[in-house]
Order: sequence, then structure tokens, then C-alpha cells
Amino acid sequence: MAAATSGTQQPRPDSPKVNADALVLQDFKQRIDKYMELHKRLEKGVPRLERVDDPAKIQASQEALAAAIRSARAGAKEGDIFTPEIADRLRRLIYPEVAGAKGVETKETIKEDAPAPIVLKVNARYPAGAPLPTVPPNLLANLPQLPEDLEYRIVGRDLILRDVHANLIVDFVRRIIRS
Amino acid sequence: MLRLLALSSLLALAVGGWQSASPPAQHIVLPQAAKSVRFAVIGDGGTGGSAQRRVAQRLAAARASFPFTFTLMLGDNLYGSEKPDDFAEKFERPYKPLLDAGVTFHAALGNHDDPNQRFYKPFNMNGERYYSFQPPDGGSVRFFALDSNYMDKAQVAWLEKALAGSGSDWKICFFHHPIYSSGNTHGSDTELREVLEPLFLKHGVDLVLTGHEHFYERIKPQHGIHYIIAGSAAKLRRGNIGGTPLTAKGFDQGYAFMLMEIAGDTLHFQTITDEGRTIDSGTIRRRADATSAPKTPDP
Repeated sequence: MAAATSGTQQPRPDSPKVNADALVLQDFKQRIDKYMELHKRLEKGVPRLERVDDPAKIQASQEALAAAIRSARAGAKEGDIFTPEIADRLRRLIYPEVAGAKGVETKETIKEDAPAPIVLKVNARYPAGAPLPTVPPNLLANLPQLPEDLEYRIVGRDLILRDVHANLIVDFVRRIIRS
Repeated sequence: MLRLLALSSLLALAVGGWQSASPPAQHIVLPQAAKSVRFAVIGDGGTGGSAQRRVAQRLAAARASFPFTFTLMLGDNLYGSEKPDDFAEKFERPYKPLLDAGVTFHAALGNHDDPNQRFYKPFNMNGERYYSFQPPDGGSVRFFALDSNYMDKAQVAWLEKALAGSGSDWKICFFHHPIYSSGNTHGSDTELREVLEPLFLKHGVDLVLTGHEHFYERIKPQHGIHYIIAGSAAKLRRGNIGGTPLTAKGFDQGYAFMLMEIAGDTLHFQTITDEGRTIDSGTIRRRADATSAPKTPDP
């Protein structure tokens, strides 16, 4: 049986509707993938991070990778990964969990483990000895999943993308959480 | 008798001060049954300070009477900087007698811990932020160490699979942030509870051990699951336990650690202060199997 047609406003088969939000998240994934390609390539040139008895070897691996990434991304700047569109999308993904009465507890959790204010700078080391604020699971459930060697951290109201192995700030979004 | 004690105290001071004097043997109330699983629990221990050293000495003394084979660390394993010297000062030196005796440590990450601690062999994390293990001395027990700082979708999926696939009689989870707590400073982490509690209930978790709060609190069983906070192995928030109906037993007036023994369907526990005083003890019966689905015993 043939489908009824009105003869007007039919979507052309070669131009399907595009979900703008999905495109933004796809762009985010591509930027993350590109960063991880670099991370993995540079990892091959530094002492391997493996199970060791001597913590000096962990530190050496961390510092060597951090130096290599800094050098390879010498020109990296705020917003290279978290473009304004991606930052806006992430802000909207986080918003339902931090808004209104329901969000009070989530914001409390973020505040609780917060370190002293830190200087946000791409390629800077996350301050040694500063606590890593807990990211509430309800926020992580809303945010795009990251590869194992990258993580989100929220310090105050700012979102940080942190390279775990290298302990580097890869990028950040200021005021991801509005007051 | 008093004179003898005073004499031994003077002698201890003469040979190197109080810090180097071994505490007297600990009175143990645990049954020490044949083929039981014996372990210790410490939380928030990595300060490198005198309280940590006192607790560590007491732990070593307790082991003389109660030979446990491994220790669970509930996070905040190293406060502050994590340079190689810090690993020595905040872990290797305080627990040297235990390490020398072959006691293994199994760590969970706290909010003060760099996740790269997972590569430090003596923490037995196998390079993973979350993992499970069976005790070296056998028994149908499996421990699940979680990273409660970063409970992302991948970790939740792993936990669900790991719990569902475990045929162990006892399932014990340990991590840093308590999902039930009467602490005035932190309190219950309800967001974490929303994610974890359904899995614990569905898959028959018997006991949950956490730190973060710098006191000892045994929570009244919640939906049949036992929760214990033991986060005062080096830090203390005196008077921080608020009066809530959750508390079965609380102690916020001194530093403490726990000894545990699993014999069959019963877990025996004893909580001891840095001064050697037992402030809590008792037994926990394991829950009946939560599901009737057949399970394969863990290898």
C-alpha cells in the first residue's frame, strides 16, 4: 500500500534534519579523540606508567609526559577543546542537576571537597597536593563519557578537563555553574 | 603493678621516647577461628603525623595477637604532596612492621589522592581506579574497591557486572565517601547513594566500608546492608557526629582502626583506638542471597 502524500513540505531525502546539539557533541568527541591521539603518541616516548614499587618512577613518568604535552601544545589556549558552543552545551547538560532546590545538594558536594582557588591556565599542572574535588555522579551521568586518561573536575564554578597521567589542565570553562 | 608500669614507661623513654615504644599486646575479642579471613581497616590515614604513627604502632601490636594478612585503606592514603618522600613518610615508614611481616594493603582513592597512586604496587590496585579482589587466605569473600570521587558511567557499568558475576558468599564494598553518615561536616552523600544503593541491594552486598568523615560510626543497617565509617586513622573531627537516628555506635573522641574476621556466615569486628581501647565490637551476619539466579563461584 502506497503512503499518502500531501505533495508539500516533504523533506528531501538528501537533506535529513540535523540535530545541532548532536553536532556539537560530535565536535567535542573529535577534539577529545585528537587530543588522545597526541597523548598516546607522546606516551610512547616517556617512561611507561606501570605498576612499580618506587614512586619516583610514577613521578618521572608524569613529569616527562607533562613536558612533552606542553611542548607539543605550546600554542594551545582556552577554548581549543571547550569551544563556546561545546561549553554552552555542557553548561546546559549540567544545569538540571545544579538548578533549584534539587541542585543544592549537588552544589554542596562540589563545594565540600574544593581546593583553594587555583589559577586556570591551559598546560598548567593541577596544583600538587591540592584535593581533587569529587564530581557528583549525577553530573557525570549527564556529561559525555571521557576516555580513561581524561577527567572532568569542577573547581568552584569552573570546569576543568584534566589529563590524569600528566596531571595537566588541558582546557577549562569558566563559570560552568552559574550562581 | 603500678610501680612496674611506671618503670617500664621510664625505660621506654630512656631508650628512645614514646614513639618508639611498642604498645603492649592488644586484647582481642575476635574468635580467631580456623580458616577464617582476617584483615584490618584504616581510613584517612596518610598524614605522616604522630596520630598516624600511633595508630600504625597499635595496629602492629594488634597483629601480634591477631595475625591478619591484609589491610583495607579507605582513601586519603596520602594527604598533601605526593612526592616519593611522601610515600615513605606517609605510608612506608609508619606501616613498616606490617609491610615487613608480609601484610598486603589494598587501597581505594580518596579526594586527596592522585589517581596515579593506582600504579604504586604496595597499594595493590593493579593500575585500576576501581577493582575487586579475593583475600589471599581464601574464603568465599570478594572485596570491591570503588573510586567514589569519580563515579562515572563506565565505573557504574563495571560494578554492576562485577557484582552480578561474583559468586562469593560475602560481598564487601569499600570506598571513600559514605552514603550514610551522621557527620556534621559532610553527612550522607545522597547522590552517590542514588547510584550505588540499588546495585548493592540487587546484588547482595553485605557490608560497605567508607572513610572521609574523621570519626568512627557504625550505621544501623539500611535495607539489610551494614555501613561503617572508619575515617579516623590519622585525622579526627572531635564531636562531629551529629545526633541522627542513623547511628548504631559512634566514636568521635579519638583515633581508631578496625580488625575484622570472617568465619562462615559471620563477620566479627573490633574497633580499637590509638590508646588500645576497644570502643566497639560485634558481629554481622551475611545477607541471604539477594537473587536466586545461579552463580559461578569466583575462581
